[in-house]
Amino acid sequence: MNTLNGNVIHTQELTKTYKGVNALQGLSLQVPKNSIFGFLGPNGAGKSTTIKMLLGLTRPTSGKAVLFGKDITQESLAVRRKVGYLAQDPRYYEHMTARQTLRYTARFFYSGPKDLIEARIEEMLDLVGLDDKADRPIKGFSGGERQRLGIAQAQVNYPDLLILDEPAAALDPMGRHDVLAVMEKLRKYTTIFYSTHILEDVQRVSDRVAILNHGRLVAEAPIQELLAGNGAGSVYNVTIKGDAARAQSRVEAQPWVHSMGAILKDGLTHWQVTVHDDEAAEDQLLLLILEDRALRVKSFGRKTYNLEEVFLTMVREESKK
Amino acid sequence: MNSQSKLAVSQDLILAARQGLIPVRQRAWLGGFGNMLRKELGQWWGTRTWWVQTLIWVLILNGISTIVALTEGLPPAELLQEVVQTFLPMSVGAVGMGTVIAAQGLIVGEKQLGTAAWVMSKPASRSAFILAKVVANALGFWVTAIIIPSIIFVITVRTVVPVPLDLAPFLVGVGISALSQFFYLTLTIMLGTFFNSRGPIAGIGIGFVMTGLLLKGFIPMQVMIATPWPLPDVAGGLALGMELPSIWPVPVIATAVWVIIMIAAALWRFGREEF
Repeated sequence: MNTLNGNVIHTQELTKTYKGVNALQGLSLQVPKNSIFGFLGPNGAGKSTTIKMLLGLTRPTSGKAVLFGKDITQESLAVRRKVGYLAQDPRYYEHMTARQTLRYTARFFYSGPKDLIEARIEEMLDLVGLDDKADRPIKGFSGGERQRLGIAQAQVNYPDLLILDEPAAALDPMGRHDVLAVMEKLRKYTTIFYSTHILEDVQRVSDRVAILNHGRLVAEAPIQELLAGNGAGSVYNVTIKGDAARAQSRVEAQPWVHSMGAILKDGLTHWQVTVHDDEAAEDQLLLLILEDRALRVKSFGRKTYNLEEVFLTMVREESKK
Repeated sequence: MNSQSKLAVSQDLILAARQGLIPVRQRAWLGGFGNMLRKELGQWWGTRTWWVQTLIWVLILNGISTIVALTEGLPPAELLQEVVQTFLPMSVGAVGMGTVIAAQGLIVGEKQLGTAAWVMSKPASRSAFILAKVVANALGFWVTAIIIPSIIFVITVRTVVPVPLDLAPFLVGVGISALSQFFYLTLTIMLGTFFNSRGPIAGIGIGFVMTGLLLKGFIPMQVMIATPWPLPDVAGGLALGMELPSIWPVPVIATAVWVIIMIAAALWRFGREEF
């Protein structure tokens, strides 16, 4: 696979303006090979616009994007040969059956042999559980069945990159579970770039996350890094047994400490230490406490956030700007 | 081909060989043409569309011309002239209008439903999308609205009218009718790339046909000959071997040129469509 420094997607200052309104402003993003990349943002943040630009469905106003080392505007067809795409509200020819739809999709990629194409279609129908409805016209399909067909058609060409726009938005909990399971199964074969606003799903399956708000990139990081700190600095939780007053003075005096809170409860002191410098905290915080040999550290750890906290904090802060 | 794309091609082939599947290799501007053409033809010939269209046109064109052919009291030569002059001009005008009505949703329908965006997310070129529509629908309309009614017309005339119909000039007239139909098809497809609803497409298309039918006496000759409006008269005249004004090829050539211009405009506009 032809990638740019191991990145399947590389965008640089990608911008889209519709009639003077900025739908996307200077998006610079790298999506590493074989990652599951969650693209988060509230409605109207620019997620679908970004995806449409990557697929050549709409043209950037300025900036650049490269997929597999190929420019999205100059070599769009070559890019689309390697991509599988599921739209937010997938639409197909209603008179076709699921099998005909997959056959039609497959023929954009493969000219033969016919039996292998049919075998691949069968495999996809089986994967998404539509084998019993394969020969029914799509016009009778439910939303969930359409979504499952969407996943099947997106994968029929063994894509190197799977782009999914809100893949689980219209699904019930079982459907969502199935979609996430399929995504996890595909991780070793392909890179998955998907937009969503279901934060629980992102936290479950994603390696990296980008948060978009009002067309601007608010954050991009590996999910663990994002959950470890919400941007205002890392927070360490420490529980101590014994008189911690002197240790508290020592810690507060450190230049890398931003703020500190202490609560006495059930004979234990609970600290919450917010730091600017993670490395310094990791190296020194515990040692500073243990200088006082009378103290016993009952628990020590960096506070982890859930994605919802991180997302809401970042989006609110960005919206204030 | 640069070294990067050479590498991409070879990797594609390796992957395909691994799966045993043969990747489609087409020129970029024609990407997906065969697949889309097959689908468009399937919509004509794999559904009831073909026989519904055939039934409509046979009833209209052959029905009316047969009624004329059964008119009593006309000398045989005049009757033949009357029948041909009814069938061909009517097929030019009515088929033109029918084409606009039937084809108004070809592009707009796909834009509105989102199927065009879905297809364009695959390795399919925008030009191939338009050309597949043009080719499949031209074939569909030609066969159902021109060729089949013309065959039935020839059989009817040979059965009912005592004077033989000269086939070669008649076929030239049918060819003119087919060109006129192609003009209205490409006009409708072009309008579909510019507009996002059916109203303006049907309005402009039908308005154009009606202007030619109803107002041609008021339109200056210099304008007339640059349009397909004189084609009903040209088709009828050529089919009967009548003497036509020397400028008769001008509207034929002009219509052919308009067809090329409208296909080019459709390709240009659809190439800039934002989904």
